[in-house]
Amino acid sequence: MATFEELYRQHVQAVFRFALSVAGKREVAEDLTSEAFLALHRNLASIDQSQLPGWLLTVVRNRARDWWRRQIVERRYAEQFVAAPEPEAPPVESWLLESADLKQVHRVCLALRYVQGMTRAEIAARTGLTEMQVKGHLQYALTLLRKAHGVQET
Amino acid sequence: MTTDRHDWDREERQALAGLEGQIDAMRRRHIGDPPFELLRAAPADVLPEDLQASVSEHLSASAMSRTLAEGLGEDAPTLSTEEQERLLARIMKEARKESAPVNAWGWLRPVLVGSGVVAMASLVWIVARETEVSERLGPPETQVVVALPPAAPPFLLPFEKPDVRLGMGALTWRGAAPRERAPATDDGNQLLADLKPGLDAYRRNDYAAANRELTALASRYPGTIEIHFYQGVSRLFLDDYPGALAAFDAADAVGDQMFAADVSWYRAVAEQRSGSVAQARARLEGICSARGPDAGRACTALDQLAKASANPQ
Repeated sequence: MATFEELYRQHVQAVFRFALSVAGKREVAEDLTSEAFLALHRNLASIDQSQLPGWLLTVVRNRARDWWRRQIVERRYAEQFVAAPEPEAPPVESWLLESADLKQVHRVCLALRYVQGMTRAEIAARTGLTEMQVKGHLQYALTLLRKAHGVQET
Repeated sequence: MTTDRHDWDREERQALAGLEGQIDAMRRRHIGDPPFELLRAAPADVLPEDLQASVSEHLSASAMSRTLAEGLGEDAPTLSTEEQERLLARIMKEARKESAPVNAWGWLRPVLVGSGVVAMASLVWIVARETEVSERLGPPETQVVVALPPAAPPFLLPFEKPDVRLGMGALTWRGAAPRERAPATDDGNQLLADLKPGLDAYRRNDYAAANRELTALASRYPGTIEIHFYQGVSRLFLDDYPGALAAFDAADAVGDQMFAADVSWYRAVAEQRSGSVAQARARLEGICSARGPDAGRACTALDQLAKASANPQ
C-alpha cells in the first residue's frame, strides 16, 4: 500500500498532462491537478490503488467539465464549425500533416503560427511551452520546410 | 487570428519566401476551424453538450484539427521538480486545513462546553428515569441486529470478449516512450511495441498478464484508449469489477469516438456485476434507445435484467 506522497510522485505528471490538455492553461491545469490529488487524499483509505491513475483522471475530467461550463458562459464561441472546404490542400499543408521528419510538437507549433495565426507568446500561453521553446521548434520546422520545398537559402 | 504574414519576422520571411500563396491558401481553408483550446478539450468529452457535438463533428472531418487535438506528444510540458514540490505543498496545506478544527469559532468553545455539561446532566437524568420506568415494566425485548453482507446481484450480465482493435492514434503514434521497454516496431512506433506484450496476453486469454502489462503502461500513456479499454475488459474476466470500472473511467476520459460505444457497453456490464444495477440499467437504456450498433444487445440485456428482478434466485 503506497503512501499519498508516493502516489503523488508516481502519477502527478500524467495527471498534469491530461489536465493541461483539457484546460489549455497551465494555471488551470495546476488547479485541476491539485483538486484531483486533494480528492485522493480525502479518499485514500477507501480507494483501491490499482484504480489509479484512472480514478484521478476521472476527477480531473469532471472538474474540467465544470470549468468549461463556466468558460462557455463567459466566452462566446461559435456554435457551428465548418470543415476545410474543397479544393485540395496546398502541398505545404500536406507536408505539415504528413511529413515523417516532423514531430507532433512541430506540427502543432506550425499550425498555430501559420494556420491559426498566433504569435509565439500566444502559442506559448496555449501549449504550456516557453516562448523560447516555441521559437526553437518553429525554427527547426522552418528549416525542414525550406529543405522539403527547395526554397533557396538567402 | 491575431497575426498575418505581414507580422512575420525576417527569418520567417526568408524561410517562407515563395510559399506565401500556399500559406495564405492554407489559412483560408481553416478560417472557420474551432479554436485550439476547444480542439484539445473535445477528445476528453469535457465540453458542454452542444459545443462538444459540434467540435467532435468538425474533428471527424478535418485532419488539420485532428493534428492540433493530438497535442504535443512526448514534448508536452511537464512539471519541474520545483513545481511538483510547490504543488504538493499546496495540496498538503489544503488537506491540513480540511482536517483541522475551525479556529475561527474558538470563542464558541466555552459556550459549547457549558451547553455540553447541561446536556449531559439532562441525559443522565432522562436515562435514570427511563431505567426506573422500564424496570417497573419488565425487560425490553431483545433486539438482534445481524449485519448482512452486501447482496450480490443474483444475475450477472453475460459479455463476450471483444477482439483487439487499434485506433488511428495508436497506429500513427509518432512519439517515443519516456522509458523504453521494448524495441520500437519496424516503422518506429514505440507505443505499438509497448502494447504488444499486454495485447498478446489478452489475445491468448491470459487476463492476469494482460492486466499486469497494461496497468504498467497506463500512467505512461494516459491518453491511449486501447490500454484502458483492454485493461477494463481483462479485469471483467478477472471478476475485478471496481478495477474494471476504474479502467473504463480512464477510457471515458480519453474520449475516443471509435471505442465510445464499447466502453459504454462494457462499463454497464461492470456496473451491473458490481451491484450498481440502477446505474447499469440507466446506461443500457441510453444505449438501447440510441439505436446505435450496440442497441440490440443493450435492449436484450434490459430484458434479461427485468426477468431476473421478476424472478430473483
